[in-house]
Amino acid sequence: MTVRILSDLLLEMRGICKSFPGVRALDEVYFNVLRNEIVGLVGENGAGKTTLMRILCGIHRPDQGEIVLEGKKVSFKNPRDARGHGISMVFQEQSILPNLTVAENLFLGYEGFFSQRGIFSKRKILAKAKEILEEFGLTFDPDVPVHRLSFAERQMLEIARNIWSAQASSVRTPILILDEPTTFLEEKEIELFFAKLKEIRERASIVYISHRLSEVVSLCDRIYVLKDGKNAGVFDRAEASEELLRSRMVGRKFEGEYYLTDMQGRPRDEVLLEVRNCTKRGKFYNVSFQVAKGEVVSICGAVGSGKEEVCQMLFGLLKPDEGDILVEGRKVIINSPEEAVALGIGFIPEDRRSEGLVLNLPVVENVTLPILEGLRKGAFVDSQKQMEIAEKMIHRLNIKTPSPRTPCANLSGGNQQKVVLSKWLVSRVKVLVMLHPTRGIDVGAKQEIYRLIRDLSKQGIGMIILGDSFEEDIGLAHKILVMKDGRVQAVLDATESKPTPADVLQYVV
Amino acid sequence: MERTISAAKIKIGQIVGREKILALSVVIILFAVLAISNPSSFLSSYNIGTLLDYATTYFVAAIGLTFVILIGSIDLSLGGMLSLFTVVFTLALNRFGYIAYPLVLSLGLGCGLLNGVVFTRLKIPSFIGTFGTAGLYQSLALVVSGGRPIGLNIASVHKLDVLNFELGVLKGIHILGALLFFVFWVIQSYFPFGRYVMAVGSSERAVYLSGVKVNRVKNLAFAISGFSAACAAIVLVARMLSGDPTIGMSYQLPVIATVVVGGNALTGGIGGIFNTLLGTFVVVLVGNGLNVIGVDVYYQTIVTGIIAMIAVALTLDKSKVKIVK
Repeated sequence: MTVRILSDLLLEMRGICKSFPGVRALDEVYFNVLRNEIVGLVGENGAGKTTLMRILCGIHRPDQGEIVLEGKKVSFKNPRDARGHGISMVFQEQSILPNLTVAENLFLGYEGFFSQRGIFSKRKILAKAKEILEEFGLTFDPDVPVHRLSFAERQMLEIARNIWSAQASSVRTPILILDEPTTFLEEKEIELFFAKLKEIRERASIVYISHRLSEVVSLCDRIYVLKDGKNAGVFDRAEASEELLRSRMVGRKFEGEYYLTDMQGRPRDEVLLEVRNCTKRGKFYNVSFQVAKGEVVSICGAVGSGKEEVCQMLFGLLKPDEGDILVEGRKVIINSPEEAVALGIGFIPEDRRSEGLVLNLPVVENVTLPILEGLRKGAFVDSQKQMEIAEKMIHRLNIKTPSPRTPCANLSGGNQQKVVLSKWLVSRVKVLVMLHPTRGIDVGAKQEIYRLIRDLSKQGIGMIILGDSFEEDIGLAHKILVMKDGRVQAVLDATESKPTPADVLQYVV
Repeated sequence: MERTISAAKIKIGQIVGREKILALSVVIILFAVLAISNPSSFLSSYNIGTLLDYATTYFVAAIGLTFVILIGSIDLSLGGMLSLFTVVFTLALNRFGYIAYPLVLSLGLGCGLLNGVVFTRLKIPSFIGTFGTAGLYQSLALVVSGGRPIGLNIASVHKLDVLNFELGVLKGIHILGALLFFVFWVIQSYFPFGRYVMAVGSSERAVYLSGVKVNRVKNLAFAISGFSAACAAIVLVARMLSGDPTIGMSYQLPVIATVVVGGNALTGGIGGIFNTLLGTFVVVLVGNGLNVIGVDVYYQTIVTGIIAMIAVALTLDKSKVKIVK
């Protein structure tokens, strides 16, 4: 083991620190990559995996620490710079251009290799593309536009491109970073994908980020665990197991305490919101559930299970083809967010920074955004009242901000999320739809959000939550809806006794 | 936490009116340079009067456009509207008398609203939508006037007395300009609409997801732009005592430049009426100054072009606009 490290060490990240406003994302993190290995990187959301990899591929700069590549200290100014050193990242959202052909994508930025006096030869390009595709065992035609390929094929194409371009800049062993690459793959495709990755290992090193611990354990040669922005262990494949990794990631077994289960109130009998046999073809089918006063309903399911779309429907962003929505027993049709708000439904979007807040406006403006029309004295906005409301909310939710006039951009993630929440509290909503309310905020702030959710529940607000993990869903909810392929698979009670993540998981996959 | 607070304070200091301070200093420097280099002609009451005349025309036209630009859109029909409104106003003043005022103002609101509806209902980008309606308004102007400038009767000229009375160098139109500045400043600062304009320009998605009627805000912004074009047309007629079906073309781009030079970002969300006022003075002082100093007319547009570019480069918020197209 030690011998191998000394001779095969390809990359070292030493003592990496990185802070964002209000959050210390990485604290003295160490991370090594050996030649021709697949190294796993696991951790909860917000543990710092993505930040660490973004530093490695030149998107962020570290505040402290150094990166040593093949024994030489390096610092990357931008992703292009990192690419020049053979380090590249394959994103979930894919960075290939669907309107160009396979070959054009493959050689984007390297057209010079195929041109003479500025005119490039399509014949040469296609021949070379075919050769590369064959090397990677890919069988599709290099001359078709990429949008005709499947997601899995596009992913492989992107990987092939990254490795080819690294080799074209004469890097001996490229480093390929894969961020949750199997999220959108079918089970069969995953097997094939892993076989390919093992082949690729012969010519490159791979950093593999995933939530799916079973995959990580079976695929990776070594595994790093991050927790709250710090190292929480490195394991060889021989010693790693799912349980070990999970306990290191969380640092505790599933604890009700963390989710403040003892504060959980009981939902009241009165039904606030009812979804009756709603169908949106291609998205979800025959979905029915009720939300009572003070009840927290979680919807669990994989990406593509239809849970996001159900939430969008409740806020008027998507119209069901069939079925009814009832608010306090009355049938309603919700055509737009403004109609949803008028019915007393609030919405906390997934992307807080671009959808939840107007970042460069001050806290006070954001808090009162939905009720500005109602805050008038004659034709004018009653600025004094507006300020009073904002100050009350800052106090009530313990929002840490230098002043109500501070732009939201300068607040930490947790405090930003509290501003989003307060926006709906001032508009006195009855039902709150929350998409990943704790995404990207640190542990302490998560707890505060959980406490707020408990408080709101006691005040009788009904909530529909898509949590960031099964644990979170289970911890917070009174009732869990599990969806798969657009259908509700199971409804689990989580009021009396909490189901385990495994109970939920069996319906998800 | 303390570190965050101090960092926040510094940032606020940078955000508050950096572009305003820039534009204001440009205005002061320009004025000082011109006043010192050629005091006799620049500071003559005739020149100051001319300067104010131009400033009023540009400013009144640009004031409504400011809201459109603040929501991140553009109104290219301003020129067409100016042409049409001067013609309609002249004809109506000759024929119906004082009714012409409310008539042209409501026509302005209507044309502006049409721009808004094309944008929000048909979902045509404002750049193309208002380019299309610009053609409509311009043609209407030519059709209604028969393609010739239309003069005012002696009787009608007196119906413009309110705007043309003189008080030293000040005229009625200058006071109208000041009045409009005040009204629009109040709208921008104290009406829900004004706040929403800023919010929509910064993050339309977030505002929409807050349940705000975003389309209404947009429609209103365009309607106000039409209204202010109508006001500008009245000012133009008061100055020229005639309606000209082709006058708008020469105003379209300078008016956009006026808004942008003052520090209103074309991408929306940054700036305001005060920026437009400053922009007006920059544009007018540069134009007037080049004449006063005696720069050859052939070279003048180079200077105005360069100033517009510098202003945008200085005021564009690069943290917000990652990719400039």
